[in-house]
Order: sequence, then structure tokens, then C-alpha cells
Amino acid sequence: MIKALFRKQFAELISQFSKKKSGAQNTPKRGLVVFILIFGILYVSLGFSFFTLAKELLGGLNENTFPLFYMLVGLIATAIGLLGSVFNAYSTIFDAKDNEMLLSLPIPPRRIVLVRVVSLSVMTLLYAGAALLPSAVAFLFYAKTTVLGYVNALLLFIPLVLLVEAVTLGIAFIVAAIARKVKNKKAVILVLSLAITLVFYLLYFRAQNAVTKLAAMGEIPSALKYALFFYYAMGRASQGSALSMLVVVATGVLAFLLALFLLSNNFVKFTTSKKTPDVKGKKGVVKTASLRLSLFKREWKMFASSPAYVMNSAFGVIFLIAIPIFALVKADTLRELAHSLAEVFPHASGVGIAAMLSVFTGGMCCVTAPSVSMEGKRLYVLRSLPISTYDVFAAKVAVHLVVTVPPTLFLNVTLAAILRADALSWIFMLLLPFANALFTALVGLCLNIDFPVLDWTDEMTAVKSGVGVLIAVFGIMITNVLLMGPYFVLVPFCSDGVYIALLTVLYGIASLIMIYWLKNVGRKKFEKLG
Amino acid sequence: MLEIYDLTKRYGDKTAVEDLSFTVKAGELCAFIGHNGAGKTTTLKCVVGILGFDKGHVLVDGVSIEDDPLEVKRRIAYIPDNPDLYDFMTGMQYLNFIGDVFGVAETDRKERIQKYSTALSLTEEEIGAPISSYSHGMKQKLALISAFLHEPKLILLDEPFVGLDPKASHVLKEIMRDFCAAGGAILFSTHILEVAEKLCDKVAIIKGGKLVTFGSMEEVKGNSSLEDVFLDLEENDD
Repeated sequence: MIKALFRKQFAELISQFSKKKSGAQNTPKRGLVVFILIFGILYVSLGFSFFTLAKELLGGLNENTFPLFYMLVGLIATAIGLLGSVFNAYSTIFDAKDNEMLLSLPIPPRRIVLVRVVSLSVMTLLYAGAALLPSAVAFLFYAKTTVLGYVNALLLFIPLVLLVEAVTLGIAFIVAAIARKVKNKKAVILVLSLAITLVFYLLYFRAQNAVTKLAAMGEIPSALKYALFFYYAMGRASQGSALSMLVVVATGVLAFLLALFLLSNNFVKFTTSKKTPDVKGKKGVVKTASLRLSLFKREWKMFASSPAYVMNSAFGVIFLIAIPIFALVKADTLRELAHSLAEVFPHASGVGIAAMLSVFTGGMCCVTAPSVSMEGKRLYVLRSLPISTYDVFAAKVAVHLVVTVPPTLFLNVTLAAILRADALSWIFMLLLPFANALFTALVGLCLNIDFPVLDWTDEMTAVKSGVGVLIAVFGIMITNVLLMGPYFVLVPFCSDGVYIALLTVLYGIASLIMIYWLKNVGRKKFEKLG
Repeated sequence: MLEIYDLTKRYGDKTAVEDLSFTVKAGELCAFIGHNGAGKTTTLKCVVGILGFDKGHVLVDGVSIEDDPLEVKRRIAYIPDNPDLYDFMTGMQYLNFIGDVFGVAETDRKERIQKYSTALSLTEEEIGAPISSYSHGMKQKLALISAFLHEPKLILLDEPFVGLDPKASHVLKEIMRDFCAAGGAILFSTHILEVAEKLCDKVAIIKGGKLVTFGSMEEVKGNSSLEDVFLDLEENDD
């Protein structure tokens, strides 16, 4: 029975990556190969960065601070691992559309939970592994420890992933427990997930900051050993301590089992006694709107009503708002940094760096990347109505612009004002958010048209899985990083304003090419979907 | 109102619909009958423009779905067998969305929503509730109201009676008759042969993607029942 459940769960997971490209004649296997190839490239690129970081860190440690290496690696892997599953756990476990069907079969609920948790753990492992694996390789090459220390270092990923999964499941448990008692469940899930995640990351950044500072001080205070005892024990295990390894394994396993126990025992209660919206609503009001506004409102509701969609596609908005607030607090420091930059590059004012930050942070949001997949089996509604496909595309892009342009403008205006940008920089700092957001939205849309996932049973599959979403998220990030390169080539010869203008124009040209593709190819592909 | 000529739709090597031809005139109510997998839903989806097809022509009110799909869609309404509606909207928000798409004026919208929701026993409070809280039958009723909202010329319904309570089924039959009496046309698929026999002027029977019989109800069933005719056709071909 459990085998059948695993087969079903993983077949669904794999099928999202092995779909036929829309309108293409390639085989499903080819889709999987494309996914593995892209994932491999990204993994190797990320791995190389972590390997370099780990190598440098190892070089600066002494015998007393040696445990700091795995403390830091553990914290980084925890943060990345959580990204892989924390936003998905509630939706994957409690909101899957096949829950009722599975519960009607003679399957013990704990097995349903176990299978779902294992599939979440695979994602956690994949994400956390991006930091853990290269760090372990660097450790084997550059660290000096005992044989047991090396063995422990290679095995530490198991208890760490279990602990991360326990935290994830714990958050899902709290969210589910509160959500079932409230009326507006989706809004509560969104706010709770956001609040808990923000608190976690706040604590995480403080801990990471403390560990990094301590690496330079030469010793680890006792208070920190107790506060981060799991991570300190990881560090001690890498020194060859069998007892510490035992503590790490026991903590990870116990935390995981406790979380699994909590979820298994409450699964039926949380899944079947959810407070569903009252079928007696308020009296509806007949309101007319233009077709385009109505399409936009429909698209907005589809986005805003799904916590999973919001958390995975627009989480970066928090950074777009937090960065300028932080910049206002540290305005003087920023000006000093810009002044130092100008001493090296006479034309530089620091606004160019601000533009890069804006572009990179804005690129962390891509509302359009799952927007076609989110239509799911309801796609027939759009397809059977007299709506031009191009209007549908425009509505999807518009939602992305509404979500990302205002906070990006806030970031750009704040940084331009603090850094006292010149007229040219001001103009393009105001135009850049539009050009960059349009580019990001179009990349996400084009890729989702090419790689849609429409037959999902769990909303998270549409939001997070699939080759299109993967390429969009990482592709946009890599493109933005590559576009930063010219700054350092150009800055000795021209002003920051010219660089920002160049960036804006490049995004504009790329957007025009994609609009041409959507009009001539994407439209036909979309009309063949469903 | 609806003209289908030599319609052929293939999925890879499998031919789902082959050389299908029939017409439904204004004022006619036509039942579309066939066993599971016979090609009924595929045909309906081709007519609506959701699916492209390999051969043939489909004309609605003289307009070709291939040449001007948007114009065809303005003249029709379609409800699938299991209407997945936008569960992130309330019933009224959904009706407003459909009304906006077809440009239905506010007064007409109010009047028609009132008329059909009263007939189908969907209260104002229920229409104001989120679609996610609806039962299958309520979704079906909402989809039906939305179908009649813009006064289409042709309505295509895939298994419209599934999930409806007896009263709503009865009302729907009356609405369908009234709609056709006023000059509209309906093509609907069903497995309930008694309903088709009592309700329809015409019947099309499809088997293995091919039309096996088509004509007025009297011509097709003669002195026997539609059920007997259907079962005979099934057995004869076997």
C-alpha cells in the first residue's frame, strides 16, 4: 500500500517535469532530460559558489573556532532548505485535492502524511544539498580533522534535513491549527506563513551574523554554544566527536518524529473539519466593468486568494520594501560607501549599484511564472469565451506590474534620493522598474506558455513545480547578474546614469522581442492548451 | 444555427471523431447521444473552439469557428460536464465576470440573474457566497445562469442534468424549451434517454466517433422507444 502511495506521489512530482512542451512533438522523457540538465547547471553553479565560500572560511579558522565552519554551513543550509518546503508544507499536506479520495480508501492517515512528508523532504534535501554538498567536499579537501570527523561531516546532512523538515512541519501544524478555526482561512494562512517565516529569518540572520563575527574573534562564547546547540554539535561532530554526532542525530530524528506524530494524529481533524466558507454569503452586487478590467480583476483574485501563489511568486516584495527602509536608517553609511566608490571610479555615484540591487531584488518576484498553470482545469472558461488571448496575457502581465512596480519605485526613489542622483539617473531610476518588471513578467509568461502544468491536484504543483517555473526563477536571476557585469566595464568611462539608461533600454528591447513572440507564437500555443 | 461538416478530430493515431456532419436549426433542441468515449465531448469542444480539428467545417449562425472564433464564441454558451468554476470568486463575481466579457448591460444583467436564479432556486445569499463553498449542483446552476446571461443564439451543454435536483432538472427542461421556442438552438449530450426522447426535436447518435443516425425524434425512433433504437444500434454494429 505504502509503495502505491509513494508511486502516486512521485509520479505526480516527476510528471510536472516531464510534460510535453506545449505544441511540440518531443517526448515526455525529453522534458525530464531538459529539467535534469537545467537543474544540473544551476546546481553546479551554486555549488561552485558555496565551495569557494567554504574553502575561504576553512582557511581562516583555528582549533578553537573550527566548529564555526559547520555551524555556519548548517545555518545556511537550514535557510535554503526551508525555502524548498516551508511555503509548500501546509498546501501539500492539508490542501491537496485528493485528500478526501485517499481518506475514503482503506489507507491509514499516517501513511498519507508520511508519503507527503517524504516528498517535501526530497525538496528540502535538494535545496539544502546545494550548500551542504560543496561544503562537505571543501571540508574533505581543506579541513584537518580525524577520520571520524570526515565521516561525520559526510553524514551530517541527514540529521540537518530532518531538523529542517521538523521546523517546516511545525510551521504547517501551527498554520493548520489556527486556520481551521477562522473564517477567512486563506488570508490567515498567508499572514501566518509570512509572519512565522519572517520571525524565523530574522532570528536566522542574527544567528548567522553572530557566527560570522565570532569567526574573526578566535573563540566561541558558551552562550552561543547553548543558543545554537544543534549547530555547535554539528561543528563538534566534524571535529570527530562521537557524542556530538549522537546528539545531532538524536535531535534531528526526535524533532522529525515529533512533528510527524503531531501531523499524523491531527491530519484527519485538520483535513475534514476545516471551517469552509459559509454557503450563505452577503447579497452580491451586480457591477459592470470593461472586459480588460474584468480580466484583470479575475487574474488578481486568482493570485491574491492563494497563499501558496503569493508566498512563492511575490516573496521578494518584502525585500523591495525592507531595503529602502533600511537604507533610510543607514543613509549616512550609504553616502560614505558611495563616496569611497567615487574615489576609485570618478564617474560613479553609487546609483548604478542601487539600480543593480533594484533589478536583482525585483527579479525575485515573478507572478506570471505559474499564471498559466494556475488556470488548471478551469482553462476551458477562458477558452470558450469571446476573449482575445492577447487580453488574457495582458491581464497576467498587469498583475505582475501592479505587485512589483510600486515597491520597486519606492526602492529606486529612496536610494536615488539618498545617493543624490543626477538628472539622467533620476529619469532612468524611475523608468527602470517598469522595464525590468515588464521583462520579468514576459519571461515568466512565455516560459509558462511553453511549459504549462494544468492537470494538478495540489495547487503547489502549479506554483512551484515544472520546468517553466524553474527556468523562469533562476533564468531571470542569472540574466540580471549577467547584466550587472557591464557596469564595472563602463563605470571608468561613463556616468551611472548612462549605465542605468542602458539597462532600461536592454530590458525594453528584450520585452519587445517577447511581445512579438507572444503575438505570433505564444498566442497559438496558448490556444492549443487544455 | 449550427452546421457541422465532415468534422474529424485525431489524438495522435486515434481518431476520436470521423467525418461527422449534422445541422441544428434555430428553434431546435437536439440531443447528442453515445456511449462513453464515443466522441460527444470532443465534438462539443471542437464546436466551441476549445479544441482544434484536423478536417471539416463548423459554422455557427453562418460564422466559421476557424475563420472568426471570437465572433462564434459571442453567439454561443458552453457548459462542460463537470464545470470547474473559479473557486476564488463568489457566484456574483463570476456572473459579473461573464457579464463583462459579453458586455451585458447592468439592468439586463440584474433582470436575467433574478429570472434564472429564481427559477433554479439559487438564493441571493447563495449567489453572494464563495464558489468554493458550493455543491456540485449549485455550481451547475451557476454555470447555467451564466450561460443564459448574454442571451446566446446557440447553447452547448455536456450532461447538463448531472448533479441537479429533480426540481432544478424540471425547471431546466422548461428553460431549454422556452429558449428554443424563442428562436435559440440547443445541442446537449446526455445518457438519460427518456429525457432526450421527451424533450428534443432532433437526435444525433454517435458511435466510435462516427454519426450512426441523425434526424427528427419521430424519424429516428419510429414506433419504438429511443432506448430501444439506441441499444439496437449498439448491438447491430457489434
